[in-house]
Amino acid sequence: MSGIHRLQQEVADAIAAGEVIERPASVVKELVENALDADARRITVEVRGAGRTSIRVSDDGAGIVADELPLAFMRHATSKVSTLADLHGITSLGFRGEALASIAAVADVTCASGGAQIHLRAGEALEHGSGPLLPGVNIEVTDLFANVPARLKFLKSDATEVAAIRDVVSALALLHPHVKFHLTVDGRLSVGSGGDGDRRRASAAVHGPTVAAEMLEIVGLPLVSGLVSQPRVSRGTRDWIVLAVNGRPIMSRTLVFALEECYQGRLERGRHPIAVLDIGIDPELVDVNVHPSKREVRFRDENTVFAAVQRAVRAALGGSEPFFYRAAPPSPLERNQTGQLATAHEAWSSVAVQDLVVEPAPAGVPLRPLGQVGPGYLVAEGPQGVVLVDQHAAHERILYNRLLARLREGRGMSQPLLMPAAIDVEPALMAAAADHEAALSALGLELVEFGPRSLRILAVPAEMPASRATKAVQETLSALSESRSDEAVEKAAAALACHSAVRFGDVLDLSEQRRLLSDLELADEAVTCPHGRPTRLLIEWQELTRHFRRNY
Amino acid sequence: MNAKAIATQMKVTCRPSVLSQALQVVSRAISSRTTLPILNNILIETTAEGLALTATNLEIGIRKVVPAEVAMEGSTTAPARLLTDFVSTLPDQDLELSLDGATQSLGLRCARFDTHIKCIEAEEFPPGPRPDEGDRLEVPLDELVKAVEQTQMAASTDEARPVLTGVLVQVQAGNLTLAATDGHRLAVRKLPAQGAGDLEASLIVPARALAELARVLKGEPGRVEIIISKARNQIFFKAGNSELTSRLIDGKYPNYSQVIPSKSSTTVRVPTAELTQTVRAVSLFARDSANVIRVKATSGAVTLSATTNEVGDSKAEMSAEVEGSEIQIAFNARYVLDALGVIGEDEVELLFDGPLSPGLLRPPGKEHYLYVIMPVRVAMS
Ligand SMILES: Nc1ncnc2c1ncn2[C@@H]1O[C@H](COP(=O)(O)OP(=O)(O)O)[C@@H](O)[C@H]1O
Ligand SMILES: [Mg+2]
Repeated sequence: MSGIHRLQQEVADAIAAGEVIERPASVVKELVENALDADARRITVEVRGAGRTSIRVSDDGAGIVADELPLAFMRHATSKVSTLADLHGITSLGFRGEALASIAAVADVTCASGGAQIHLRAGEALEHGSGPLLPGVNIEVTDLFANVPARLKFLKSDATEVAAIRDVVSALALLHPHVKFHLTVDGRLSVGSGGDGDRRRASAAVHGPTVAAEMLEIVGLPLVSGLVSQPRVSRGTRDWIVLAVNGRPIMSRTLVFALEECYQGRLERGRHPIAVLDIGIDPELVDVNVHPSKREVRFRDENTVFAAVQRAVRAALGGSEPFFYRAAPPSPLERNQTGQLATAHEAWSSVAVQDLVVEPAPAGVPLRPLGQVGPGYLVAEGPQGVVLVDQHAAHERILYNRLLARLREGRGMSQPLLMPAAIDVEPALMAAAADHEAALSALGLELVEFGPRSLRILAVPAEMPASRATKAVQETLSALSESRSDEAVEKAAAALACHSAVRFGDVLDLSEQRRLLSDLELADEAVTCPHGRPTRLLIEWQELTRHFRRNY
Repeated sequence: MNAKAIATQMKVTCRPSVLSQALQVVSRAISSRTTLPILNNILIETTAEGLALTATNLEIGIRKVVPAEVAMEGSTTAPARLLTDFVSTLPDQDLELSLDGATQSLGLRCARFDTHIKCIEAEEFPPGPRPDEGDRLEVPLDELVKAVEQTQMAASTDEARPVLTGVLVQVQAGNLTLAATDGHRLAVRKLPAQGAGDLEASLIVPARALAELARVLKGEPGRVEIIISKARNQIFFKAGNSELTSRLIDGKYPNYSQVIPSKSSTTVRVPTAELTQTVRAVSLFARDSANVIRVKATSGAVTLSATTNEVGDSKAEMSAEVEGSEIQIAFNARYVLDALGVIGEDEVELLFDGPLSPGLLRPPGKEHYLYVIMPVRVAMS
């Protein structure tokens, strides 16, 4: 490193400027990033009073030379870039030379490094003298925003601010498994990673061992590394998706979309995967100097990155369990070794990751149908417990898989109509029918043009009840015309499956129920219907035992 | 309807068992989704024959007259569900119904019960169509019921093709022909009619309405009178004390006769019961394949088969009279079973004309019933 220096005006001007210290979590982010830039192996963050009282970050990195300490707190002073050209291949997390100055402007800061120490308040250096001789940098920020009451007013509740801090540290811990992170909040450990380089163990530290055991690792693929969750583990928000470029957490709706698309048909609607994806890319091919928060980036070739993410995620998911019921929650009253009652969380965090191998459902034990309840649920007994099945969603999944199999094998099976039906369709749908003629006929659907706005249905998939054809064709064609070309045929198959499946509300006799259940057992990805709605709910024997207190 | 309800103090006596049965049948016309509250009621009127009960959902109407001793004439409408449920619990002793015209409170007195049900004036009830001076013909009741059973199951439920949700009823040359198709299969039944003269008519009757016919006319003797309204928008079926009326579906029914195969290259004759049982057994294995069974006819035998990758396969051979060339053809088992279930003959004749042309199923040597099924196109392995 070339030492800290003030940037020339033209370089400073080229940097996306703006306020970066908005809340305690921004302070933590900037300080931890500085530590990472200094190649620290151990980073400790201690937060008190949700960061308003104090934030202390210490690391064992390269440190700051004693007489450069005041410089580090000047605006546009950095050791990380010096020329305009440097902005085009940034490898460090910081490059603006503004963070320390911005923090010092709104708080009371004491920073010790290389045997020296500086104390600043509201941007003014109060003291500069000798300090403790510690490795790396030790920086403490107190009275944050004390001189900017407006900013203080905008802070959220303590819990929210702490959660934001935890998110910042968590993301960086996941992205830098070689670094040992230690975050305490009011003296209590919040995140403690091992720093042994194992990403799954980092995940255990952040997500908990249960989730970590269910994460799939992306291995041996260019560009992308990280972990993605098995479809059976999901969350109700996207907060658990960490995306990064060269270790820098970024926000990218496009890449989140790329990721989530791989889960299509495997997750229920409104559920999102847990993921850590780091894109290792030539720094020249990505512009990080887009937004002051440095969280938005611009790829030179976004399509390649998009494709790489999908390839990586799909490869990882390829190895996931084809189907699984809901995993059993831990028993809340499990006793720990000392005989005391442990909380659910403690009970689980004391279990080593490798002990948490989840048993797949035993194959070959058929579900025994018990009947139909409500408008369209089947009740069955299985080896693991009582299973409730949404008959429509289940049948939809079975038919969808079957249609796709036919498409793959090119062995269509269709029911030609005795009396072809004519339907009126919009020109866009006419075009969709023409564009996908081959795929549709492999699915069993044969249509011919019959006037400028009308089609004649000659044949339908063999599964489709006669009375559903017209509606099904309309919906299938709209699915085709509304979908991106690479997924259009699957969307069409989903529409056909939906309109061929038994309806929610149809009465099924016991033999039809048995058939549906055993077909579902054999189906891949049977957890959800092709639209992502769940097909079943398992109430495990243990859960019943627990509920009825039969275990005492 | 004659006197004003206000002045009416209806009083009749009847048997709960008879009334209960009639109420249950009449209630079938009540739609569970009606938006007109009055349509949840049954119209009760005294007539010369006894007590007339009428219900309607404006598409179909059912009317039954039960024997009753009328002490005072009158009419009202009572909530169907409540009345039906209540009467069905009564002991079979004389039930006296008496209406207080001013309050529209219907008293039911039977054994130890003395009950009052709040009713709505008969004037509120939509004046359903009555048989008018329209065209009339007569058919034997049991044959009509059978003909409906043999065709109605082939009608569509696709509201996007309304005409196919009906059964085509044609009167021509002294015959009544019923035809129904959902686009996959077609069922046609012909029966002789009396008194039709040179009447020609072609009407589409909702299959839903015909589905009630057997129940409504059950227990009535002999013949059914069919009346087609002058405006050609209503049809009435009347036998004894029972009556079903239905609105007709507007539209043009497709010309089904052109899909009835006129020639065949293979003719198979097999016992109906044996074929039914075999199709049912084999189709258990037709799972992967959308309930599709394969039929192979060789000289002297018919082989049915089905395969599912995960479940295994099943094959059954039955001896049969086979004339013409050998054939392999595939069908949706359900469509075959639908026809076998209603054909009502010991033997059935199957006619094929190649694996891609429609197959025909009929009672051997008879012309009154036929059932056409389109085969399934499968990749032959
Ligand atoms: N923890 C640290 N270890 C070593 N050097 C640091 C540390 N924190 C800050 N520095 C030095 O201070 C400079 C200014 O930091 P900062 O204001 O965050 O700007 P930037 O990170 O953009 O360069 C950095 O360039 C770096 O040389
Ligand atoms: Mg920095």
